[in-house]
Amino acid sequence: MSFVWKPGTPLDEAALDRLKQHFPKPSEPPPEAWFMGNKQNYYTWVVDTDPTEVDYRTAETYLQDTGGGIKYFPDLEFAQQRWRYSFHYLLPYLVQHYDKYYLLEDLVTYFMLLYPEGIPDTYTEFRQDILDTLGSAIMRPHFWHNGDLSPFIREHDRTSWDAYSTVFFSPIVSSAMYFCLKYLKPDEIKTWCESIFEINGTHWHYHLLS
Amino acid sequence: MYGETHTLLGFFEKENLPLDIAIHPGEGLGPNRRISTVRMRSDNMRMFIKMLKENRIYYP
Repeated sequence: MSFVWKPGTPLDEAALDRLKQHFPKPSEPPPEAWFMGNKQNYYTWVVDTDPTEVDYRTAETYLQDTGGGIKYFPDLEFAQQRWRYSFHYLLPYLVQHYDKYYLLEDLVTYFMLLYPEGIPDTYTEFRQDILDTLGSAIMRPHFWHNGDLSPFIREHDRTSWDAYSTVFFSPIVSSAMYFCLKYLKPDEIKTWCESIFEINGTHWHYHLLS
Repeated sequence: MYGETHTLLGFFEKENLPLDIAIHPGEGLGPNRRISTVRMRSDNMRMFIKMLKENRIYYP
């Protein structure tokens, strides 16, 4: 099956629905990853709040904290299990609801931490569903304007911007491309490349070449 | 992206590379540069570089 990027393409609703069906709301909340003292708190909003109703900063903080836990605390089996499952549950809601591009970057890199070896066949359509949602989210209409990257995505307004030490490229474009280079198959790389080279936007080319 | 892969062009054109390769994105990926190493298929990168050249995005 060919995989292409086409600016202005909305997320695949059927894929989002399948992800939601396969990963229903967890019954137990995931723990925080980084804490000081004897008491470890839990992200109770994950189990008692609609994910589309939490504010952006809450979602961002959760992904950054537990994403660090995924990477740096591999031996915490109990926490790893909850973090991993909760990500699968939250993913279709967060990728659909939040149009902040840097939350998309968090989701993309979190997934790469979870699956460094490739996308497993968790269920039959899982790989394709991930490609059609997370792997294609950079093409959402909100991120494009007149065939080019939208002013929205060109704004470098992330408060932790200094973490990247550069303002010369958009981190999400880079992350999204590495995502595809990592998870696509060689025959899919060809059609994907053809599609990204057909995008004519000046700002897109700048980000592609920077 | 091109800038990040440019230094890799010569490497991925070598013969007999293992299928599984680890590369290091220049600025890292994700918040706080959380991902410094990405493992990927060398044939994917070879195909990507081939497409860069065919579309004249590559210059030596």
